[in-house]
Amino acid sequence: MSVSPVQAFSPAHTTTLPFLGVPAVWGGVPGFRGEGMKIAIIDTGIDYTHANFGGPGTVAAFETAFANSALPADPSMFGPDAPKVKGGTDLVGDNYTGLNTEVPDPNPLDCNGHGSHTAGTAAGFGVTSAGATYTGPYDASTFSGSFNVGPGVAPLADLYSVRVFGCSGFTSSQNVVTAIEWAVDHDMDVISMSLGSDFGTTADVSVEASNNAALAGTIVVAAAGNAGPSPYIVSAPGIAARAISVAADDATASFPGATMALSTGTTLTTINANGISPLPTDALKIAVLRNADGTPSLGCDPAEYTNFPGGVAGMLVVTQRGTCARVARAIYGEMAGAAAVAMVTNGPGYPPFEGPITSNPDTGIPFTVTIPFLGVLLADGPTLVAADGGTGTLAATTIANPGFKAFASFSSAGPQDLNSALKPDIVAPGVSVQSTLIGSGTQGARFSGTSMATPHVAGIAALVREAHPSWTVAEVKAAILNTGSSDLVNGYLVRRGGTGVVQPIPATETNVIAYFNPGAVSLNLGFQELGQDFSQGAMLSITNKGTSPAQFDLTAASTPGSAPNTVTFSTASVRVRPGKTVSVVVTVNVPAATVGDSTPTSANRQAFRNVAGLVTLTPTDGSNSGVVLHVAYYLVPRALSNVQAVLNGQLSPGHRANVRLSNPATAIAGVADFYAWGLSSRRTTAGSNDLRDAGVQSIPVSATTRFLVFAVNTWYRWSTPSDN
Amino acid sequence: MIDTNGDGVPDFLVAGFDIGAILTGSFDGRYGSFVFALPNFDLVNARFAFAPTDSSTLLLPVRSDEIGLSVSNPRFAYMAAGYSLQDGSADIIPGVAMFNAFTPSITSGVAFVVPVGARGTVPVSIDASEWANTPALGLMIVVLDNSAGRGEARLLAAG
Repeated sequence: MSVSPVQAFSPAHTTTLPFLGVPAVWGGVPGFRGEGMKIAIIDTGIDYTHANFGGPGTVAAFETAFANSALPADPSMFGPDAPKVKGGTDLVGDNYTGLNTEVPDPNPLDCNGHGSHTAGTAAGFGVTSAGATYTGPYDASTFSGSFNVGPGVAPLADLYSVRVFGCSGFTSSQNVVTAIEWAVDHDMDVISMSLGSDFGTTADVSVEASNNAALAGTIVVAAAGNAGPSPYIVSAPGIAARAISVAADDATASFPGATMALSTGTTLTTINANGISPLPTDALKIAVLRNADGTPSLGCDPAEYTNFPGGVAGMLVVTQRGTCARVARAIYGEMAGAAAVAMVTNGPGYPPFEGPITSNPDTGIPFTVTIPFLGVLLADGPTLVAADGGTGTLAATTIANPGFKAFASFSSAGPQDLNSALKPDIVAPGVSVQSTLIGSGTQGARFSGTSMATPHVAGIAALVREAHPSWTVAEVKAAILNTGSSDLVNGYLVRRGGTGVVQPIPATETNVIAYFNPGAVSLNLGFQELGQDFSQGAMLSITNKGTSPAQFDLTAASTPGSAPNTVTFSTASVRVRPGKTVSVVVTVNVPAATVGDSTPTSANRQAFRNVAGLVTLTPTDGSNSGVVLHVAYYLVPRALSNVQAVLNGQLSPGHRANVRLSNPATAIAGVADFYAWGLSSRRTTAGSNDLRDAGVQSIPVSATTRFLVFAVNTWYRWSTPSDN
Repeated sequence: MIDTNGDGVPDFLVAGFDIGAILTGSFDGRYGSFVFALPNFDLVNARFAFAPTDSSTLLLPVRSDEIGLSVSNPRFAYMAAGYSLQDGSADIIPGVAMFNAFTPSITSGVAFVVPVGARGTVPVSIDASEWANTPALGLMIVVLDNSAGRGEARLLAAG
């Protein structure tokens, strides 16, 4: 058996930044690396002792700083003379939970980990595999080197840490407002907020603060949220019209794998979940941990390993997934001397890639795993268990990531609650992103979330602002949204990802921007009830900020998931002189009868309908350096029936009557569903929870069972009942 | 809230709520119909509700045996209340309604498709003997594709 020192697999910034094209922006002529840009990280603070931020890079340095975290920080690590984290403040204190009183102090040292991770993605220097702060060069060759933590998107930008969370818990919108105001008052170029609240509406005070910050000259980037693909769940403050709301996708094409040749003659393919390389080459004896009844066990108890008959030293230990942290098995196995640990998963697909395992999430106790932790498909479990007592021989392979380029399953979808405006705006990598590991000195950790996608865009916003220093916030936002790539998203939907994956190369290169609304950029047609066909025009402004004329052909295309629609233009091509703006009337047409009705399907239980597409401006004659521009248009339509009901006869005991139904002059058929009307109420509020009537119907299932349906009607429309 | 034993105290709660919030603690935008046994709020069953987006009518399904109803105990009383997570406001429809799950006093459970420009007729009636035990206000005809608000529930009063 031979086991070599741990070699981390593909630190994620070395995956996500090349995926986006960031190194080409660093190494361009001119190159943009964030020089002179100031990014405020509104989060849990920053571990400025970490080598990724130019700190000493030792655990001891962090522990010393943490012991004094309510006192002014060491100016060599935090403040104007520090290498990276040039300022900031702690608005809440370590012990703040969101439920108690804030105790501000001047020292925003991170004691949670989230803010250090996001800050590293936005503007970390990078940490070499030798544990040193990376000092460059930042160019197309950067990622030929080996890193513990790859550099952030804008590695030469300055960071400011504005802390709104304690070591755990949540925070208030008012604290976020205070943090935004701090950033504006301190002349930040970009705010990065990996935070939010689901079902965001403009009633959230952080939304108004975000819009005001943008108007005051600070680019605001915020997370879409981690609540998944249902409509209207996208978070505030990202839903602020002038903010950039960021969705998450998966930028990892493949994961390390290990084939396992069993002595029974079968070869399994597993995921090498902690990326250990090289793998043991000897045939490993297989030891299946078992419960008292003989069934394979979870391996969640360290005693299962130490008490295994004869011990597990040098063996390939087999466990089942469930209950405890997945990686706990690898820790317990290595502590007992195992050569490798395998975990049979309990759902579809492989278990997730973990990256380097440095602690037990269940206990928080640090432990660096140096043996392979292998994830086994559920279907392969019985085969592996049947090889108990035999051997398994490992060999390295790779496993294609089925989620590559797809939206992260957790990424919150729009549109915006109540007004049906399009959000999120853009997509960036947010799955298994490796960045700064708090308190580790020089190490990284993998986190997933739109929190991880957000600082990618914040960093890119800094690069675009550096490239176009005279542009307004709205113009920088337009450049970022105009150059998003829907082609890079598998399963693309406008309401999940705006114009697509953020593209820093064209975003920094474009000299022309296009927008329906300065600040929002997209065409938001809102919610419309359609008793007849819809047609509405809007003005698309095309501004040439460059020094050469620019000419574009205009086209439009409906995007996946959209109801049928057509788009017409007042002109099919435009020529825009330098410094000028040309306007084009864009008309969106929707046949009401094709929108669909309220019939739910298993894939669309809420019968949500939308009209979505992209207007594309394709440069001709080499204009605009060949950069193509996109602007989204978006409408939430609801096709109407117009069913009327009139009573003919007397509806009273002992009498018979008829209900005459009609459905005149409208778009679609309607289903008249009869209930016993039981309760009624007058209008009492203007809210969508103002109840109007309730009734119940009974449908026979069997002689002894009925299916009852309660109907509750409100005076006003909701966007989604989930927050109503 | 539902009183199935006639003592004036609710025995079950049929609630429309975000499925993720109830089952995992995190909202996921999917809407469910949850049956809780009172007073301990023990979850009896959950299933998808029918609650379209951009609409104003909830349809909350429940099976009769889940709320203690049977052929020998078919009647129940119910009241309705709503609560907004947007602003924390609450609303209660005044009064209590009665219903017989097995022999309703008034026509219910009929669904009639009305195409664009078409007309139709649905015969309706009231069972005089049951009406004495479980009277209703009349008919509530839900049309989910009608205009939101009052348009989605056409009301025809009895009397």
